[in-house]
Amino acid sequence: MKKGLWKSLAVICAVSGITYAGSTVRVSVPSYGDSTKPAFERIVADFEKANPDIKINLEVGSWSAWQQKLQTDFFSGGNADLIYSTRGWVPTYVAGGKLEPLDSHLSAEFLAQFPKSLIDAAKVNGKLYALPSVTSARNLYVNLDLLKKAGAKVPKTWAELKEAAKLVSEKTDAAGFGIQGKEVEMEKYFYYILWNMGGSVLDKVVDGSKSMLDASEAIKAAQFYSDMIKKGYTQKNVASYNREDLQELFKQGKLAMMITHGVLAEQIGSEGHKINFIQTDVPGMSADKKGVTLGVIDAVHLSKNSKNKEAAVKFLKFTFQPKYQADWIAKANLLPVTIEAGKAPEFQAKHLQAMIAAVPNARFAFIHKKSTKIIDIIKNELQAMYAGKKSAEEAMKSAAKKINRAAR
Amino acid sequence: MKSGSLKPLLFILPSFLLAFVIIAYPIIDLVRLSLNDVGTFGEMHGFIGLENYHYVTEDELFTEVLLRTLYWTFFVVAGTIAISLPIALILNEDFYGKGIARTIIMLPWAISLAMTAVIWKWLLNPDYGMLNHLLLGLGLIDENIGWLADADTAFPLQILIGILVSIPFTISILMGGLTSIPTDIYEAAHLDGSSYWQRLKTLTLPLLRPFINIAVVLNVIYVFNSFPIIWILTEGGPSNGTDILPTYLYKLAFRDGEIGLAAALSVIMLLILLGFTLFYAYFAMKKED
Repeated sequence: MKKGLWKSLAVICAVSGITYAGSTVRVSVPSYGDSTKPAFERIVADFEKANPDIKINLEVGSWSAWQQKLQTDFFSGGNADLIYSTRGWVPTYVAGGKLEPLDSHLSAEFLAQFPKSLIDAAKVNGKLYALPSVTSARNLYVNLDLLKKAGAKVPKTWAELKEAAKLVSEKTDAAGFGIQGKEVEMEKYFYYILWNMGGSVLDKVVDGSKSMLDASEAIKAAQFYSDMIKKGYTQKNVASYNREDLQELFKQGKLAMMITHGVLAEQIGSEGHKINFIQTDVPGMSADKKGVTLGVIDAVHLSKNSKNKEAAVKFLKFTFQPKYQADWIAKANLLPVTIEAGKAPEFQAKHLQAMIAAVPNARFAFIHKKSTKIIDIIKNELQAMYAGKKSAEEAMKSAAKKINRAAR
Repeated sequence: MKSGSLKPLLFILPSFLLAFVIIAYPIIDLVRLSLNDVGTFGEMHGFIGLENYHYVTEDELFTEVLLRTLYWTFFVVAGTIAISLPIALILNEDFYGKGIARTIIMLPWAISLAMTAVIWKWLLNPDYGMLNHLLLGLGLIDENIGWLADADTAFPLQILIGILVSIPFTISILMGGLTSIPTDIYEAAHLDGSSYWQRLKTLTLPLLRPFINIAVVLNVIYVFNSFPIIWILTEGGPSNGTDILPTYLYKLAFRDGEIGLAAALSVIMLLILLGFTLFYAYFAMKKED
């Protein structure tokens, strides 16, 4: 009986690859949609065929709990070798000593495939701990029928946007301008007005130490949104709308304008909504100068405790072939990070081209080792302001005070 | 003689070790974390004494959240007991369809808390939720209300949902108590010409007392530590307006990566619950003897 048990255990071990001789690389990828997993499975299959001595263990998880997953993985030391994540968390990982700089692992020739601005934005302390994997820029979505009905024109400046939102809210049943009031990226929705008014969250983009939210530019920006909400130019109950709720409102034709990424345009088409809309530039302060929009970079990291760094880098390089980027990134309605991949026919779709046109005016959000805490503070103060419980000045000053304490 | 006194200790050693590993070790580790400067990924940067405790408690948010947790616990537990007791008394009577009534009352227990919370989140959605739809239909409101967009409406609703989900468990404890009361004392009281209220006041409630006490203590512990309802409905927002200690703790640990502060807060929560349980055991349960 006992002998039988040992025998079967040995067989199980052999089958499950415990006795595998080559190197194994574990890769963690958050899901950007239904297409992510099959696309990565194809990359893995092709890679393993070309490199029989390397085995890739792929795990694809949900974005919503990704940060917690990576934190617990790192905490227990059970993290993957290659980790797909976002630029925003890099300083936290670097402060914890969890990442291996990629500078020495990647040749200048390989890095030359990427636009320099992307690589520069991903660096922390002058080192490349995060290689950009996908990027996106945001557009202003405008429902042309609603604007026409209200007698408003497509806004080029924030003053025009306010006027258009006013007309829509007065002359139609729809809301003028959508403001996101909770959950993922809520704080970023405030950056559009903050940056265009000349404000910023911290004194530096990377690891700043002083908050700039108590400056007059930031207070003016907060006042602008707060005023629109008070006057009824936005959707009601701002604090109960997350990004998807706002997009849903736009798809139903109940919202005239909102700022978001390319997914919305694709969904309007694929879900069959009859909305006559355009994706245009985020408004600026004057009609002759384009507004600043938000750019987002997601990135891939090599973990410091990886035992197979060489094999991991080999796989990493493999994934940047244009055909693979077109496969998983275009289907997720995001933009590729290499110049060559951008030429692929998959990225010529209208909604992706609108995002590409916005890239030159895109700015990237601050990154800080306490970024999640700082973002939480901004969100809470904004929510209090959106609900009318704090004035713009109170909210911004209180946010600045709390951020200065947290950024210790 | 000596070996005789050691033997019993030896026999309980395995269970003691098991309890130690499962209960004591995590607590010791928690205290250790709370006294150290800990990085986001568990790296120890050295002993810092009570600094984490100072930092957590001097934050104005801490007092706010602590008070809200006490309200939350008090109202949910008091509401649950106030509703469960009469229901348990009714279910203990003989009536037609008693079995079905019992099943209906117990049914919500079979649904996970997270699922209940998700269903409520949909019911309370300002645009597509059933509640606004119903109230609009009845003409009680003239425009959609964002129930969860404001802590003033969100928190009372969360308390209400907290009460609803705690009822089945509480009723089952009270029903257990009711069936353990011998019926002959009621018969004797009946013969003596006592009324229903007299029997309730002098027989049922005093005899049910130990069970009510257990229901209170267990509910306080569960509700104080309860996470899913508030997390799923509002994540403690808007602007921390519905945060209670467990949601605040989760944010500290897993969003902000402040492991040391989170450990200190956990220890504080443990002490509060321990203090309550000892206090209650001493005063309320002592009266039973």
